[in-house]
Amino acid sequence: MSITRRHLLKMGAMAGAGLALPLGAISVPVGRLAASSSVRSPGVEPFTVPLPVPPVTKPAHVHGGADYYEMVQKAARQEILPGLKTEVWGYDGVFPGPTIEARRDRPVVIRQWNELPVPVSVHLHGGKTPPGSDGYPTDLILPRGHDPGAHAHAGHGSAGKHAHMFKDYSYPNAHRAATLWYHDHRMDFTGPQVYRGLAGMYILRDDVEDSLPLPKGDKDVPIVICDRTFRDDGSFYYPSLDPTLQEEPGVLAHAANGMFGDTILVNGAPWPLLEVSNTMHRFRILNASNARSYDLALDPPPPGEKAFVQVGSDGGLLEAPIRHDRIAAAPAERFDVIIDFSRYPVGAEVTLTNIGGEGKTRDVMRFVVARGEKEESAVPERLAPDLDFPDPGNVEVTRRFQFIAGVFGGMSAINQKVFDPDRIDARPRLGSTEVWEIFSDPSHPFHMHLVHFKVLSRDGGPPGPYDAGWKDTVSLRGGTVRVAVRFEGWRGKYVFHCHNLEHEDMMMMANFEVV
Amino acid sequence: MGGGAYATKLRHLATVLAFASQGIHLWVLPGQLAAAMFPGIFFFGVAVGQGLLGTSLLFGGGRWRARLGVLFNVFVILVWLLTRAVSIPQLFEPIQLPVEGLGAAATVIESALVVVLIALQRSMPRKRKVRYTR
Ligand SMILES: [Cu+2]
Repeated sequence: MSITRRHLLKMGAMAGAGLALPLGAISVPVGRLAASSSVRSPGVEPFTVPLPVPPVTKPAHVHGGADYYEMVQKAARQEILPGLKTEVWGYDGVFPGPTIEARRDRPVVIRQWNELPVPVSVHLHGGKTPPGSDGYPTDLILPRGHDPGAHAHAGHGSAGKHAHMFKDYSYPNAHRAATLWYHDHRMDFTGPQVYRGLAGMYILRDDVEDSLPLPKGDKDVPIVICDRTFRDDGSFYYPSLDPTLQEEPGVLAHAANGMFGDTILVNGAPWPLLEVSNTMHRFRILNASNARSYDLALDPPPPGEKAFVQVGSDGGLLEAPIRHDRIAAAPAERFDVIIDFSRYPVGAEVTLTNIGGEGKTRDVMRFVVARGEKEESAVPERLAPDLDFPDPGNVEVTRRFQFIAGVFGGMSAINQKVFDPDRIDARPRLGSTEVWEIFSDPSHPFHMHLVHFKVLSRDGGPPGPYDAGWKDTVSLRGGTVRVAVRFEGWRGKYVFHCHNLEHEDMMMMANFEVV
Repeated sequence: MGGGAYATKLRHLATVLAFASQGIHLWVLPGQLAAAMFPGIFFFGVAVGQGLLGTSLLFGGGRWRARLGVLFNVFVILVWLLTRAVSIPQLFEPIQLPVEGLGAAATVIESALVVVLIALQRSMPRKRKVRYTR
């Protein structure tokens, strides 16, 4: 009897300590993961909200041939889903941020004020920017009252150059016309901060572009595509481990390979509608999503012709237009395209779809050909003068970088190393041309700061249909991409990284220093 | 049942060490599992193993129990050493702030546990007098 009781007691204790305690300990994170991956946005009737166009901001003053802007990064409440308010973190409190219109060789200086509760860093994506203004991940603008020591990010190397409350970013704009964008780049927290709204367009124009008969004015439309998930109260849902974005970086394990939202926003509106005349329109498509790539097509396709005429890429106008049935846009890529609505009858509804999407994410937005109008635009067969690509015969150094993502929440790495602000992985010489060979496990958008590059080959063959022109971001699509880079402009330390922002925050980033 | 007061002392010490290791792994488990599954699942396994070992030692301890305990803890220590020697960030390094101090403390405890379990094993008389040839 006593042996049986002792035996029972022992079995009970073993079950308690050996199973119940550990199971109790995992019930909290398992519940959190299950709850997080089952958040669904409130339903929205697609193609009912008119397409907004982000406001073009004006310089606060003009002095010595340069435009000086003031921008305040702050929280604001914005109606994104009809009838609900979403707290956004926006440049000037709007999402997407105000568009900056710049001219080639006319410098822009932006004083960025940080009125958010977290540090920020602003990067002009695609800009050839001096290192101090490039938005290096640890060059933070600390908010009022923040202790600089609190942001050294233990284990992630040295602290950067901190500014307090505001910082002036200088952009020389010594670059051909191009569709650039600016966005947050804070160390470890870029994903959640861009997700909350810290991204905007920066359109650089020049005389070459002005002289072309491409669609202009309100027929030159920025299209900022991103995906978000909302809670029932309209707030953004992002699976941060620490939703205050103050201490612990990273996302719940289910989102470690990217936060994919279930609601597609264009210029901050869900599946919007744009009425157009039956003429050519120019759309500057930016994939501003954290992780989602789009395979865009028109439904119905225009009879007998390609849907899109691509006139520009990340780095500006192509030499000659390229016609596409589809546009595959990885995060941060820009495609400058013309859609000719004269191929549709007045009254036609044309949906911009995402062939790669599932369910609601198969739709992006809709055009309604609302009226007839005389055509005043054209797409010339010669767009830009010779693009002066780097000569692969002049290459000084060839470097290889391997991008492998973390598994179920492990860190993502370049050449098996995680980002360290103090480690330099490449020291190209100023003025030199190098070939960089990037290979990957599936799907990383590879982005370099400071420079543009020319895609030389993809998986040993010719560049793909979406690799034309000057690029600053290229989708690796699980293969090997060789690019030729000319390091021009400034000496200094810059980053290159995966533009899947969750991968980037999970350390898939490295430094090059131009010497 | 283990023989003598010395063996009992060792057994109780081993119990405390096993529960201490379990406690550390239970403490970091929820945060690790939310951030990265492989470390989380491993810590869960360690917590289960140390819990079972600690409880069973509390109620007694044959040679085989001690031997299994040694094997299990040597395995746990080797995994810790391996993940420090070979960097596979994709599998073993979640982005969370490092818990290096706790990891080192757990390893010290597990090493002590291995020593105590070996001593316990040696202090105990063989249950069967019959010798099996190996
Ligand atoms: Cu990536």
